[in-house]
Amino acid sequence: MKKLFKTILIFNLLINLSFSELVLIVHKDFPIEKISPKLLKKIYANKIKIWPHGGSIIRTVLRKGKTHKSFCKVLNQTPSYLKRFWKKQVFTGRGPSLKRFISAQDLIIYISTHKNAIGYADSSINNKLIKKITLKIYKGKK
Amino acid sequence: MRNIFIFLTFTLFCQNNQPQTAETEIEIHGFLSRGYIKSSKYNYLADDSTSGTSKFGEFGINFGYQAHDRLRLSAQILARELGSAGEYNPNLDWAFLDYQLANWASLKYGKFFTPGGLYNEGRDADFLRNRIFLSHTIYSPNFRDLSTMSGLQLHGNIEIGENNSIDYTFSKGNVSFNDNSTFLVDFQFGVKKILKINTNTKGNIDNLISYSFIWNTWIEGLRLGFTQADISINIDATITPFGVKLASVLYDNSEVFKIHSIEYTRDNWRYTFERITGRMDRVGFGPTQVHFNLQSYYHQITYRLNDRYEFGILKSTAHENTLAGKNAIDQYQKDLTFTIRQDLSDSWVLKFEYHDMQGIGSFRDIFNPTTNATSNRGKNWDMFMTKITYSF
Repeated sequence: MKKLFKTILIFNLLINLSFSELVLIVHKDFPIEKISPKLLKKIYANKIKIWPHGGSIIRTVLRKGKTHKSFCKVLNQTPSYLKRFWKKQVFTGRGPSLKRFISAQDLIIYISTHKNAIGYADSSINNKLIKKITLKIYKGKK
Repeated sequence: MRNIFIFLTFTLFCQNNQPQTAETEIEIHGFLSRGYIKSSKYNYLADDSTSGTSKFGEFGINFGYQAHDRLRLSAQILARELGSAGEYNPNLDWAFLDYQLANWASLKYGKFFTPGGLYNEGRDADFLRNRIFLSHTIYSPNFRDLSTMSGLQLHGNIEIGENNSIDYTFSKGNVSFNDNSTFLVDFQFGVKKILKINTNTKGNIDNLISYSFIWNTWIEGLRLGFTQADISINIDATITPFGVKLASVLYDNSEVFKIHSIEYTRDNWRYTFERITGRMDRVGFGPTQVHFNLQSYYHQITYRLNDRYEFGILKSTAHENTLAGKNAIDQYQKDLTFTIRQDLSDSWVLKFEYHDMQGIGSFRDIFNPTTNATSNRGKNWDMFMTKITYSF
């Protein structure tokens, strides 16, 4: 039962990612090459607050749009619940606010100047100041 | 005020002396709200709600600073008004240092939210939820002073296997009641009603122990929660203007408070169920009496239609004193609520709420001095509320 559930979950994530055509982006000097979907979910659920190599995680998102909706799907969240969740973090003192940007360009500029920030962009993006990282899907490992 | 000073001093100290590894700045956020309440037959929440009152609002300002990778400082100042209570006097709502010991454990020191169900945290910021007020069955405005406590809290998240985790919180500390707290004002009113004397009253909880667990289950969106709190309240009253001290009164938590919670979120739907049990006896000031013996619960369903609209329906039943009989009109309160939440923009939220009510169990005598089990105006009544909130 657990195995079936896991397979469905991975399949669902693969479908979401292939349709969304989005990539995770970080600062060009960021030392990690891959992030698992599980870790990404934990990062955006404020369950993990510090990068493994040190530094407080700064989470960024777009305010709206197709790319943002695709990203929320990867997190299994709706845009409105994600926004409300992060407002709750602020108004309960649990964590910093989610950095939200109107344009993809502003988000990229922000990430290029903040070493601990993470965000996403359309896969067609090409910018030397940022690094694209892939979502690592684990297969069949117990 | 002293706590605010300590907080700001510590913030400045950290800014100047701590090796800065976090790329953060001091964050300032806030909210401002105004509402309107109109009830039929009985005054509820505010003293003049039957004639309709707009004396209902909050102003909160919130500071957060990541002093170090592992250390976060946060504080919120809140001014509120609900009828004649509050009058927008600013109070330190909460302020604490939160140090992350490990990925799965953090230590909080200061004034923070008391563990209580799924939603006690952030209860004053109504834009975080569907309803205007949280369900009164669990999060009663009459016991708002207990929503925060001062002391130490261990909290964190522990992974269990691949798809399960537990959020845990252990808190130990105390509560000092605000001088114009609902609980103390009601106590003074009760003394005046019986003894015909005015009193100056102080209230505190010396040793409050509370803990909670939330199991984030392998079923995506399903959370199960449990909270337990041992709360015994000491009341010391002196007769004014003579300064003669009355015998201390203890509200003894003879049966600890327990809250069981279920929340299931799927796409744009959310279902919540919470149930509270517990008993408090009044010791002193005459023979020991049951103050209340709670058995209350609510069901709530919310649906997010689109970015702008969200609808909610809630059904709750609160039994204040099951020992005195479940059917006495002043021992129970039932509520069927319909809510419309409209997100006008990223910052503005507007809500409309209709309550179909039965019973007068959680009424405050001070608002309805002539109403009791025998002189009531019927069990059925209703209430309309609206509120607009701006947050940044």
